[in-house]
Amino acid sequence: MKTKLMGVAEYALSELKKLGADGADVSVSYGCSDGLQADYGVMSLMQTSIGASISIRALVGGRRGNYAMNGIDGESVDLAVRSAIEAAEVAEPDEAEVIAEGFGDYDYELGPREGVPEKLYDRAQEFLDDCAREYPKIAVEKLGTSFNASHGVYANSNGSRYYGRGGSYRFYAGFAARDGDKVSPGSGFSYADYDLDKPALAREYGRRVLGDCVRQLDPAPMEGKFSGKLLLSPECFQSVLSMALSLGASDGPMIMDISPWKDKIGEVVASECLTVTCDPFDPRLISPPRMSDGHILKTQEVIKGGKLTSFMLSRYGALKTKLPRAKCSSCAIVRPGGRSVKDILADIDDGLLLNDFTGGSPAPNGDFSLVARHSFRIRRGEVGEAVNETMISGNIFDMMKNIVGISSETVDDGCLMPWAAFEGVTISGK
Amino acid sequence: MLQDLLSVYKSKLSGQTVLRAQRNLSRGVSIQSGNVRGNSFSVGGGLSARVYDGGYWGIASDTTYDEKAIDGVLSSATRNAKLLSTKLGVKSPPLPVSRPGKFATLPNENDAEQRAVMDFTRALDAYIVKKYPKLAARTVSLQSEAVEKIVVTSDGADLYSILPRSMVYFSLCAPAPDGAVVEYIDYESGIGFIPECYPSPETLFGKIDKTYETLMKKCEGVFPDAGVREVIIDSNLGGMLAHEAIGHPTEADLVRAGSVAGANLGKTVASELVSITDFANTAYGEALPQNVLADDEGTAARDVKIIENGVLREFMHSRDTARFFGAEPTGNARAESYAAEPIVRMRNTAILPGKDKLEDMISSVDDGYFLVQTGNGSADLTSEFMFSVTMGYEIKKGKLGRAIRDTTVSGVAFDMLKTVTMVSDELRWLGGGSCGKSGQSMPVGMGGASVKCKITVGGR
Repeated sequence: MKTKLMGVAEYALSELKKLGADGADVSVSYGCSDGLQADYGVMSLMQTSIGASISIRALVGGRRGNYAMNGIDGESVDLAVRSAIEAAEVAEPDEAEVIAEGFGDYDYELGPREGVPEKLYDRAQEFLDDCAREYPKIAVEKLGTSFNASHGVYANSNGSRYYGRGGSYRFYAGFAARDGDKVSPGSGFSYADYDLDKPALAREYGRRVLGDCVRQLDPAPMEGKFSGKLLLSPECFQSVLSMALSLGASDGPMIMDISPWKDKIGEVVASECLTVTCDPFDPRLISPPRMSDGHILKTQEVIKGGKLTSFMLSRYGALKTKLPRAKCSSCAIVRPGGRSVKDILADIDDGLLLNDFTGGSPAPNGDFSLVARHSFRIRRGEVGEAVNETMISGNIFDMMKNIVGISSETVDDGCLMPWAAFEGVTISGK
Repeated sequence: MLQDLLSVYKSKLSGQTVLRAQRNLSRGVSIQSGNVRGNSFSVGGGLSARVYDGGYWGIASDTTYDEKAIDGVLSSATRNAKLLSTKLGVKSPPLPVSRPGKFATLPNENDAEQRAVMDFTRALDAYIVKKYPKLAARTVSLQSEAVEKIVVTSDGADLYSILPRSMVYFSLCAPAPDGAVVEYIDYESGIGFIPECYPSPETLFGKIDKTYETLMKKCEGVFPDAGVREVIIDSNLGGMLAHEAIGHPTEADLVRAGSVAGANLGKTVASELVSITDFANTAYGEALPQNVLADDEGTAARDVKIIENGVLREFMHSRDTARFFGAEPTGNARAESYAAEPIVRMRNTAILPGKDKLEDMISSVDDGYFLVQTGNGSADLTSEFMFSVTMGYEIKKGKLGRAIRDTTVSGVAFDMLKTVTMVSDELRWLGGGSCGKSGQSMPVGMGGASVKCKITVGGR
């Protein structure tokens, strides 16, 4: 497969050059998957997918054009090449639009080449049986298991030739708790792994979400408004941290010069207990990227002891802002703290355990107003009743400075994050 | 235009089989503070077969679209369904009939050239720079999307459909007196490709001016006072209210999953002023953003009157949920892409107009808010919903007051809709929205009148 995909990429590069491209990069991918799905607790669907795609970025006189499509036959590739060139020809020249320097050849393979079909069925049925026995109030709406195999190449006009092959299983379950006429909000969890050897319920994350779901059958609206502490689950902490890093350190706000962190390298932007590293090589990650933006990724520290050590700029963003390019801006991992979740919880007199939220994006200055989901009231160090119609509001950058605890425990099911507690957030209800 | 390789297979399809070819076209230019950040065109397409056998589905898909691939997906999908029914035994009877027929929208090949889209977007950006040079940041995006598909079924349905839509977004940022950078995003959407929706950049200059004026008011804005408040939800948001608060809980697959709507069919769930319909393709003689003649199962699409005068009347169905509930399929089974499984989705969901004038509604509020713009929203099985509010105003003693900064509102639909005391006599449609469900993003139309109600408002 590598030879075939690389051949397509080489052909596209050659044609792009003939049509006047000064530089180009081409990505070609092929994937296939087999999946099984249960609906409403019963096996119901088997699916097979095959797909190939190409995407091209062409530079003509410093002007960039992009084109992407499914299909990698000769006719499709010719169309993709012509369309990318046409797009480039109408753009403005931009000196920050460059092709990444060549890195030569780079190959990697992760995960099995083929899945075991029986595992898809056995794990799915096992989860349904386990749930029915251990969580009788849980109604599984949708459950899926799949094996996904992918091959991808990247080639650019500066000599980079990259090939990656990945194979992994995916499990997902969506469910709600029901008891008579009562129903909880819909919930779920998913994970990827190189095998399906362990039952889904062997994962702490899955059991936590199922248990929380049952406890949401009897939610109570929050009354009033107060400034309190939030204890964020690892998954929720990941979402909040992503919002802060996106608004403070990523291309858009930095190029437009509206990031509150724009001149804060070396300065305190968060509580000193926060250290964030982007590490695509952490062995706990399943099928992490090895290449992005035309570069082979390397480990990148972003925040150390609360001080901003790097922005998360792409090559384009780096050239626009004249700041260093990030060696990696994905796979963010937070260093665990020194206290247990139990100890951190014990310090919260009045607050909220926030498992998820919905709402609009924060404002450029970090102000946010969100609705708590799957969340519980905390009083005197104990997690209490589920809440609904509960809002949280504050400022995401202030939150980063108001971290009062990061747990020693982390969740390893994809997000590699600890629990974290914050103070000074407005919590309001009816 | 998508080549029809499928019609010849119609007579060869056995059992309950659907064959679908689909391509999703997306074209766009985005200019961010003068830098061209988006300049792309993409086509995602392929074909799939979906076979129903004894209560089990087999699906197979391929990005290749030729006779060999058609034979391949038919064979794989049939094998997949048979594997399940053989291993697990027949569990359900055949699906109900789908009111098959021949359905076709007009072909549309009026997509713009990339150069024209670039020039158009540049002209909009140039207007902003010249007229409003002190903005902290600006982004202009011009996009078109089109979903084109051919569906043939063993029941005899035959559908050709192309649904293009175009959107232009303006995001303007300015410093506020308190030092914060404030952003306001507004957009326009239209049915058709860009040249059909926006004849020239000049036609959008007024929209830019209004966006800027609104931003200036927002810069002076205050945070709303959190709690349950009396509000007027503008018709601009009325569609979001209909979609999130009532639409999702009454999708029959979610009803089957336990939505509280299931226990309320035939009951009063809202003020008698409230009527909500999911329109298939037209309303009041007007073409709607999603012109769904038949769905991705080949079912002729019909309107679904979800709530009539406050009473919950019916749910939106696929063939599978119709079989389960003993109802009639309504033509709501839609798939995001060629490879995706069709699931119950809304088409054009609206809260129907009442008899009140918006100005009378505002003047009837002693202390509350007028909510005029939104960004996104969500809902769950309990009918608890939320949506973000990116622009609004205080109402004090019946008069509009200061602007408010970004906030979020939430409520439990079947409680909140009982608090509706006025509904305006207007109906405004928005066609640029996309709805996420089960990992699929689907274009939807949302229509609304303005409503007066009580709702929980977030704030400081």
